[in-house]
Amino acid sequence: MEPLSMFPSLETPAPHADRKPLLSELREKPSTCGKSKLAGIFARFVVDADGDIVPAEQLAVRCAG
Amino acid sequence: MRGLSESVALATPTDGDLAETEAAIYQARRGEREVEIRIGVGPLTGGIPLRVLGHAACIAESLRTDVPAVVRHADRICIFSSALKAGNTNMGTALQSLAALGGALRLSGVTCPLLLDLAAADQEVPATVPINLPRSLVQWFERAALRSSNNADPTRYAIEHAAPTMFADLSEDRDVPLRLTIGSAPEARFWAARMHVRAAAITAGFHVVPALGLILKSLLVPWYSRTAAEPLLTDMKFSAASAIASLDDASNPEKKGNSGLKREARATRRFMQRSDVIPFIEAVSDTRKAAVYVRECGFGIGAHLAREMAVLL
Repeated sequence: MEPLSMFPSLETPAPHADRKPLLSELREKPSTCGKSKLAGIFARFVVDADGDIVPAEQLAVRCAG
Repeated sequence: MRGLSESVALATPTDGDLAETEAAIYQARRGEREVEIRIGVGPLTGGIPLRVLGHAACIAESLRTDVPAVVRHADRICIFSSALKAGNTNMGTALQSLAALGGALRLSGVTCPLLLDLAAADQEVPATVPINLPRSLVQWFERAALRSSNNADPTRYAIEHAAPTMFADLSEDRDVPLRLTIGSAPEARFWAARMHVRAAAITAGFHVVPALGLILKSLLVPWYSRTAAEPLLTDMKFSAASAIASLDDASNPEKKGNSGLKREARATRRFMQRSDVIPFIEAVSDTRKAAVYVRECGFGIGAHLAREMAVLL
């Protein structure tokens, strides 16, 4: 049987409390709508510093924390 | 409001060079800076899969819906093969994979100029740039290398993704296009590696260029890494219905398939009744035909690929 995906899961990020923020804008203005914003681009998902795909609001919370 | 679709994750530079990329996005929207889409193709394993058609359709959809949410349009698409960088010297296969994706994009309605090239085999990211990737990322690259035709050191291969002939993050040239990476989910890990390279390069006094990524997060398996159950592109020549059904099974977990192929499998069905698919399959079926095909299609041919094509022909 093939594994669920060929490569290890990208959908479940590991919790890293000491992660460096990826989006300076998010750190300054934590999302209130669950979206990332850069140059007016809204995205519900972003790539974090470890290459995990995470909801934008999750990264915003991490960065704010 | 410029919204990306739910199936796309935005990949951005880190704090050190975020401002320059943001400025480049605004310049591109005003028509003051060109936009180049860069798509990487890894070493082909197990022949060209039928899924390349569905993959191209997914990329085409993102070009139609997500790219205009970032910039007005793309000026060109550069597709490069990392085969040499991965220590794979079968250039005929690399050419076929480039021709397959380029041709599949054309069949999917993508009309903007396409440039095909091979990434250089040499180490291009200077050894003087001190790069320490997180252990978790290194382990991921090591696992991925075991499942692909990557004969290079996995960490070095990941670092080289920032090289001028790959995603081209490092350049002293200031007059460069805004480079937009489009890739499937595994590309997110390589994006993270590139961001570490960029940060280290800035610290070491090098210049990095504006870049942004659109990660198609529901595409979990690189199209060029064919899973055991997947049909080949050539299977479509004998029976389109049977080949499509076989791909559906290969993406169905209830039939011991891989659900990570599902979106591309669904998109591949659109090609079932197309009369232009069989000539395309025939055109990329061997190296020599693929070389003729990329010329007939009018694809741009980069310097490294031109040299190899001269040898192959």
